[in-house]
Amino acid sequence: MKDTIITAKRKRTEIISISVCFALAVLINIGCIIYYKTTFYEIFTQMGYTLVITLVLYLVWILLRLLGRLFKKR
Amino acid sequence: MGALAAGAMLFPWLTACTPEKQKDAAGGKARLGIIGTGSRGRFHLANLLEDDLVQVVAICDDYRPHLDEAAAMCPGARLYSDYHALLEDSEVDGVVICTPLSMHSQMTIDSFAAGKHVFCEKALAWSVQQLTDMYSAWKASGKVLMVGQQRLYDPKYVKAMELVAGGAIGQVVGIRNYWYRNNDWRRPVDDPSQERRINWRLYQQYSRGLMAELACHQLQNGSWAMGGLRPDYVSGTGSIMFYKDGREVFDNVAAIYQYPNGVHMTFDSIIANKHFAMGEQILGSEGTIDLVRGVMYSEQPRRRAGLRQMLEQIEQGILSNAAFAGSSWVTEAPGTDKGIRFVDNVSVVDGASSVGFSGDGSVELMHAYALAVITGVQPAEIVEEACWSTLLALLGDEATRTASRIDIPKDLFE
Repeated sequence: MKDTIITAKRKRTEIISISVCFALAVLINIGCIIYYKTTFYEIFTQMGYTLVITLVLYLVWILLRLLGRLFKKR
Repeated sequence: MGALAAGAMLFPWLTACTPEKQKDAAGGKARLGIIGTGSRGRFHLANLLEDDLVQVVAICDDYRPHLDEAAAMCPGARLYSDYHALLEDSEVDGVVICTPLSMHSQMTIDSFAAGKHVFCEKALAWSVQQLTDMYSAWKASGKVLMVGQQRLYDPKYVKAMELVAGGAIGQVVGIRNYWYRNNDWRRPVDDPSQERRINWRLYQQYSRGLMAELACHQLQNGSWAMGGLRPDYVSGTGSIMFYKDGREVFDNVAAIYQYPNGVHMTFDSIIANKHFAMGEQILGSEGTIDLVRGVMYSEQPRRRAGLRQMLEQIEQGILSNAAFAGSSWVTEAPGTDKGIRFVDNVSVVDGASSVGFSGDGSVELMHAYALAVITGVQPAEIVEEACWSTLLALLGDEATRTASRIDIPKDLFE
């Protein structure tokens, strides 16, 4: 099995991607709090759901990038 | 008994169980005789043998196998095959009557005539005439009469009724009772000539069917929850639709009791399906109490987190597009409130047995009877409550058998 190298640039890109996804998830939570008129404590109490949404967004972003690469190769 | 004492303000019969009253009985013994040692009789006997206030001195049954089984449980007791002989036993202070329904009335009246206190299983009587005769005999006797309506002593029912009276569920708008089983209600009979004696519940001559054997317990909830208000009339229906084995009582019944304030109470029973087992529910404008499970639900439960509401809406949006129904048809889902359990250690059974189960108030009820026998103090209003439960059951049975509406007389127990 070959060693793989993750470049510093790739690491930075992925950290930025996951941070953006987390920020989006937090914004969705805040949007729900405002829309459903619930308490802002939910920013913290619903952190589990926020992290799940973060993961889902990040996976969607990975999928989109993979599809983009496939189209570019053609 | 602590929880019971706390509810004493609302439930007058519980004042006979206060710590002071228990002190009055300290050192005393209630010397009891059991009349009828079938399954229910032996269930009570087992509880009584555990009670320090009780000495079971005599047992009676004219069916030898049952008497022998009971005798094995309390070897010191005198055995009788005729209840009249037991009533002549001067060492018996009070009797516990656990015989077929049709015998309750005469045995109770004879017991009072013999100067004994009486505990009689529910339902109290086979007919309204028998019931009023029993009530009159009790009034004239000055003796204690207790009835096997154990919910009156069940802490979770006491707590529930405190909640209802305190307005925790708002205005009472309905009472829903059901009791479902999946068994034929038959007992094994070795000798065919004993069929009607052993399976007396199945024959109209001795029994008033599901209304007397099951509904009688649940109908009491209505009186409790409605604060003593009594229904004006009952209508009902029923049939033998599954167990066509020669029985005379219905295997399914439904009865509706209408109160003067417009509220109605239902009782529904089928003994060929047990999925929903049993339920006793007080429906209020602001909440619901599930008496059997000891849980109170709110009509307006605490709102869920915004994020979860959004996710649920997305989920509902996906499911509502399912092809099995058009957009005009949407199921009305039950409330989502998980409820508040208002008592601990609730035991729930599937309703398969009519004998009784632990934690249902039976132990407290028999202890209260023992106290009453020793002190001679009749727990207040318990007889009236029991008479009303039996009356509602009997008239409900009449309504189901005749598929008609029966007016309920309100002046029988004054």
